Amino acid sequence: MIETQGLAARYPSGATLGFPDLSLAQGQTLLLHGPSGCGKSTWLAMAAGLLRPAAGRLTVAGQSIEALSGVHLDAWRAASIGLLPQRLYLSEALTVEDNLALAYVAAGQAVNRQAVAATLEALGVLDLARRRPSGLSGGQAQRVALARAVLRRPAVLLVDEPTASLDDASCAQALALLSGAARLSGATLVVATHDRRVTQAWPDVPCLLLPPVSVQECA
Amino acid sequence: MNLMGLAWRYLWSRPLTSGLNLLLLTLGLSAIGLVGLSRDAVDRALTRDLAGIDLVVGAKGSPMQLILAGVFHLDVPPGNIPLADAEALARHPQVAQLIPLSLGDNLDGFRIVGTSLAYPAHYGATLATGQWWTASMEAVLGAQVARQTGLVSGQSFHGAHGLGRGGMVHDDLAYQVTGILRPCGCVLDRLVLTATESVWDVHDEMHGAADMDEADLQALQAEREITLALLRYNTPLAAVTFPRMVNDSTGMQAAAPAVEVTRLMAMLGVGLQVLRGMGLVLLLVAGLSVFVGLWSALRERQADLALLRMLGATPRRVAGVLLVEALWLGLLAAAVALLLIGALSAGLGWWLTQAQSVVLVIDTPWRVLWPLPFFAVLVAVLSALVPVVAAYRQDVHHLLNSRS
Repeated sequence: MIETQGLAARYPSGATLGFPDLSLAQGQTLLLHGPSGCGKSTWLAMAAGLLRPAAGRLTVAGQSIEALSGVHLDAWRAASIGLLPQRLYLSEALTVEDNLALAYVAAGQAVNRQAVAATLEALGVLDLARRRPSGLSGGQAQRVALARAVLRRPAVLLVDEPTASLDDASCAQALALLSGAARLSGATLVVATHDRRVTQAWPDVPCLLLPPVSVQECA
Repeated sequence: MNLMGLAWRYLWSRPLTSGLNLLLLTLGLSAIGLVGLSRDAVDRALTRDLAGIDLVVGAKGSPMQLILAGVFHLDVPPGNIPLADAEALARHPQVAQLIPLSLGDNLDGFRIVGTSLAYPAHYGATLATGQWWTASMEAVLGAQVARQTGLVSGQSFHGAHGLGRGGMVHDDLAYQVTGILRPCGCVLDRLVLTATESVWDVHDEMHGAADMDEADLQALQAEREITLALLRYNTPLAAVTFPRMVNDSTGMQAAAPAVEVTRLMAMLGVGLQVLRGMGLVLLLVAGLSVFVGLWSALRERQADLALLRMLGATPRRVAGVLLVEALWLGLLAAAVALLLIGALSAGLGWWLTQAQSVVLVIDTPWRVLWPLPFFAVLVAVLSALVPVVAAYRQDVHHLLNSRS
């Protein structure tokens, strides 16, 4: 489902960063672990088709990213990728349900209100559907953003620092939520984190240590 | 929700800014639209009242005054002319028709016009009720006169001296209403029509004709006057020589309505251009305001736009959201402006009617106002261009990496 070979990114400063090769099957989970600024978000951006690799081959959800351009890349991202960045990007101009509906609008498709309600219900936030994001707690907002990421059943779910500002109890809940959401859509899950609690909580999950070393057990 | 709905929600997520932009755009559009509509209505009113009148002949004085008094019944005529001189003109081979008009009295501010039946026939007027006058002191009321005075066929009234309200009432002789005209949207709506002899009889009575001897009465008959005459030529060539002949060889003045109205519109045009200029300045300010509003929206909403890209929206689609937002603003402003113009023009028409001034008929406003929505959209889109291009060029990866 995700395969990389000789993948490298170039930064605006001109520096390049290489990443180890990896291969992830459908439904598998991968942790990207390392300190801030080590390239985790860059790897996610490349996997989401938001940043062009400087070198190497990257295949995500059966699609070679290098082969796509412009409109096709955006259409592929809309159909195949669920992205949950560290900043949740919930629009204050819209209600919770319309924040989810945005996933359809962005893709130029008619909004499936039933799917919106079902996803909100699956993540336990259906009762918040008419609220504005400013009226949500941090945990509720994260659930809503996650609901939007998995709404269209993406093949790959990319998550950036999901536990950065959570206490231990909330951290455990967030991880359970993530794995549940990934199962919900049958997605391959990639979680970028600098939080050792995550690696400890998921000791059996393959982990890519950054700065790049190798794919190994992080715990 | 689709792209239009999303843009609508974004637009009203900043109600104060959007409301002010809408107000500014609406005011600019309304000013331009109202000036255009008024100009068109005045043009049509003047053209309609002038139709078929080639020349107005009256006492010497201001030709503009003669036209305003004789054709539009807005000003005081410069004086009277001998009936015999007017009849001589009527016999001229270049003259197809001469319609005499005698002014001097009013009914509640509506002018009583002594004339012949050729005058209402000239405007194609028809009766709503009653019949035309057949004798002196019988009168037919214009539609607006009948509506405002409440008079109906069979009732009588007394005229008052002068062309405005407040003159001495001619108590001795009463007019009998024989008919009411259908509304024609022309000058006849606000006139009381009667035989020329009625005007003479009322003023003979005022000057004590009843006590005159036969010789004095004959002298009075010989010196009959009318106020002015409306002429139609037999041939267009008459326009070259006939007015000069009247001005040079008689004691009367000839005024060509087409010339005077062109002069009048040129004078009015300066004021209208100033109003239109103000409207354009307002629109320019509105355009700048829309630009500033959308630019600040772009800054405030970078996260939202990045989110759209993250969810798979193409750059074109993201830019489209801002463009549609501007389009909403333009279309809303056009709609509100059209409503406002409708209300204001109706108010203006009502006020002019109450003031017994020119009858403005605004029956087909779309004929003048159709470009307004396009103009509104053009201003909005032009104002949105820079923010739209900036949205199109956003570096979404950079935005997503920012933690703020």
